[in-house]
Amino acid sequence: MDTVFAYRQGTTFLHKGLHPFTKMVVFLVIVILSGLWLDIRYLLPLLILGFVLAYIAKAPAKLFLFIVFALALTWFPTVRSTIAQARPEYFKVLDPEWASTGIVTINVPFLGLERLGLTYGSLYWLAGRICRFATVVTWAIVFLYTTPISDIANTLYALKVPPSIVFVVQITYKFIPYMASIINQIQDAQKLRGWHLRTMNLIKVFKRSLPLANPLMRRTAMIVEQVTIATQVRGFGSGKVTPLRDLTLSLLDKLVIILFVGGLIFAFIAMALWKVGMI
Amino acid sequence: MKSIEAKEFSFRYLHQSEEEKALSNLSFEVEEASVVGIIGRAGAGKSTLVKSLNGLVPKVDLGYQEGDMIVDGLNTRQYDVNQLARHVGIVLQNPEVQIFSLTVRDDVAFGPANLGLPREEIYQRVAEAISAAELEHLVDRNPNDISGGEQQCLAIAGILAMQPKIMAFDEPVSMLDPLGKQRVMNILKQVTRRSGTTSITTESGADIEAVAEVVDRIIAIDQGKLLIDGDPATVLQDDRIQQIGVGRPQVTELFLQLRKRGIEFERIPITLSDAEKLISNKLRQLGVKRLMRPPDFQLQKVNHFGPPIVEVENVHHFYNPQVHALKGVSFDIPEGQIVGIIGQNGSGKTTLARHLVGLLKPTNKDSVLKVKGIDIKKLRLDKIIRMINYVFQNPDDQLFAETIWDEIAFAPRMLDLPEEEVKRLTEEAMKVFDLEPYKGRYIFGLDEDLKTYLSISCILPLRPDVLLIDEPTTGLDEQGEVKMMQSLRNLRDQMGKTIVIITHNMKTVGNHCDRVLVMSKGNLILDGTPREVFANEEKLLEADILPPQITRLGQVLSKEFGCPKDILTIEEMVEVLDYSIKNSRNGA
Repeated sequence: MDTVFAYRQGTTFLHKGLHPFTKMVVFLVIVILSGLWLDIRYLLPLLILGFVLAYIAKAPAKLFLFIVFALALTWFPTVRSTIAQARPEYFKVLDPEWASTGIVTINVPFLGLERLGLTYGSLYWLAGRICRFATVVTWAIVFLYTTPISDIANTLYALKVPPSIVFVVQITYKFIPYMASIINQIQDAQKLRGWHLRTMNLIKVFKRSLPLANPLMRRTAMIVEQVTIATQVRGFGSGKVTPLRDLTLSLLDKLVIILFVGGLIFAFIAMALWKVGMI
Repeated sequence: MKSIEAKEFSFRYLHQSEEEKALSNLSFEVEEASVVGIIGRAGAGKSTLVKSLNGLVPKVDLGYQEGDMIVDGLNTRQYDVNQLARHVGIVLQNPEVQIFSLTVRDDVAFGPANLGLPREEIYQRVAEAISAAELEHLVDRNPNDISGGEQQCLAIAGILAMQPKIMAFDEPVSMLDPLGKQRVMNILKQVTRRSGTTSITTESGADIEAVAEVVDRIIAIDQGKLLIDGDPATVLQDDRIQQIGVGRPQVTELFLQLRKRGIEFERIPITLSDAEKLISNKLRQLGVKRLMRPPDFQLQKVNHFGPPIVEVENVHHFYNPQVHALKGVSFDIPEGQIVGIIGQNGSGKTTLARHLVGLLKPTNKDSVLKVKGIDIKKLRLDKIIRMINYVFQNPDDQLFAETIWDEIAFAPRMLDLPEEEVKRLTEEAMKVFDLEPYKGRYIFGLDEDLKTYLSISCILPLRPDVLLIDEPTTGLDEQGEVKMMQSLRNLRDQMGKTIVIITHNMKTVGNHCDRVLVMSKGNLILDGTPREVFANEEKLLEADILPPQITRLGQVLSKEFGCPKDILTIEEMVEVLDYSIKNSRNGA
């Protein structure tokens, strides 16, 4: 079974043309910018650029279902935060009067909540939040789809990141599909014994989770033991690790890094001086 | 020079008492550049012994050690595991947990890079190890995309690149298909011969023939104690080997049985090639021109099976547009038949089994999947599992309850049956594999054979008419395998079940199945009785399958002596040789 965000061999410019370090820097800049900005007017170009790069990298469209899936999973905190944006003083850039124009609002005279509901401003905030999330996921797909984890690991080693941290990244990535297949296997094995979770009784739900939880814990413990042994016999932890690749950047890599890091610095300044990216 | 010295070495895990040590007072020495097989039933202490060679026992798997283990001149007490890793490499049973990187090349480099070697030396070692493990064509591939045999070769290459003086293999071929086993064992042999490395390999019985081909010494252990130590031919002839359930290569057993019939050879062989040479010489000496079955030899007990209980027609399955896992598979299984499904790893066996129990649906609309005449594609899983059910290979995937009784009672309880009915069905299921004496036993720490019996028993209360069992004999010694297959036969004979097993064990198929389906790359390429299937050498090679050793002996003897190519059992070969030799002596 494959991981959702798995590297696939390819011959595109994004696969072959840039050093993994450059791609890491670019991805990091995008994550910071997406965290910094909330204004959809700035986030949307990043998202569109992400989509264009994903198209160039030939990333399958189904990967983007993850955005919908993750948004669906986080609907509750999203809705809660959205309806809490109804007060005019929350908006620094948008016209407070326009932003607080209510679509559906109520006054809550306790717990300091005051005004809750949907306003033009809260919808604008919601659009920014969705766009921020979609941007990070899209660029993550581009990065992970075009960069082998072994290249990422080697770059981290070359950057003198402690081997134990690099190995955790590597091993987590490697064992996600393996563990996922084991979970599926356990679930299927129990389904064949008539197991199901179809009940509204919470005590039964708890009891019925044991047929999955117990074998999973046992298998996980076995795998952890075997992986520990396998890493020890391969000399892991014996000292300095030799990175297998150099951190030698091409002119193009350097230009891309300068462009993105420069852009990030400019974004910080613009935000501090002119509130660019805020709403 | 001594490569390994065990000096009154004992070990017990933290949970074990003084009386139940995992290893007890072992003393032996291993010469440099030798290949030693450590044999013994599951739980005899083989893996613990392997782990003691590089200090994993007691430093990672904690416990109490007495005596000393000296490897490559170093006392394991005085060094850490990762220091000993430069001297002793270990290859585990499951290749998947030993592979960490995303390309074959990077994975081989993982060990030398951890040792902090200069990059040029790493590249050189990687190239040498990849060449020794015959993985040149796979260097840039993702290890997840290569076969199980290739993954195990990769694990070996990863250890080779660290250039240890000693390599230990813990049942390295038990999870592989027959050609994968052969490939791994050949590499083990070549590496030892070429680099002068000392190799230790463990085996519980199912692959004793593969091990016998490569070792020059065998140490048999039982309950943590050294039982026999000597050259392979002597050890494998010893009756104690049979008693501890490991079993002998089929050719060794054949020659011992021929001896009982008064047919003596200059020695008892342990490998196929030696057996062929000895028999050919003998036959030439005696002037035997042709090997044939006695006229009164009954080829096969005629079984009468019922109407088709499973009907499969034109089943396709795509996991994604690139992976066409089943390519129009069609067959019927009549009621009461014992069917073996064989094929290399990734051939589509498990995908097929998952379709038969409704865990997967065909991706084409014009397929037929019927059990007892009912289209199961449209049926809910809780209905299907009462007609046909599937036991996965690893019992640890399903066992969760406290006791054996609770585990078996789980399925009828999930059906919300009255407690009286649950009790009745549970008791009935326990009787099939004689589990009543163990009904209060805790699941944790059960022996491998009990776990396998239990995992099958767990679905019996659902009363399925067809049982699909994935690798029912894995982890069992020879006696355990025979007992398991006899129990399955009883299920068929006494309860009318139809049995389908998925296996890599060709002896099991040859001895116990009525019919064999051979899968290769998503296609059903052979379908027939074991005799018909195993006689088709060309097609079997296409599926990376090697017939049982005794069948292969018949096939090599067929070239000069016209021996039947479809011999399935040792007893049959004894009859053929005995009859043909006596016949020639009588001047016929």
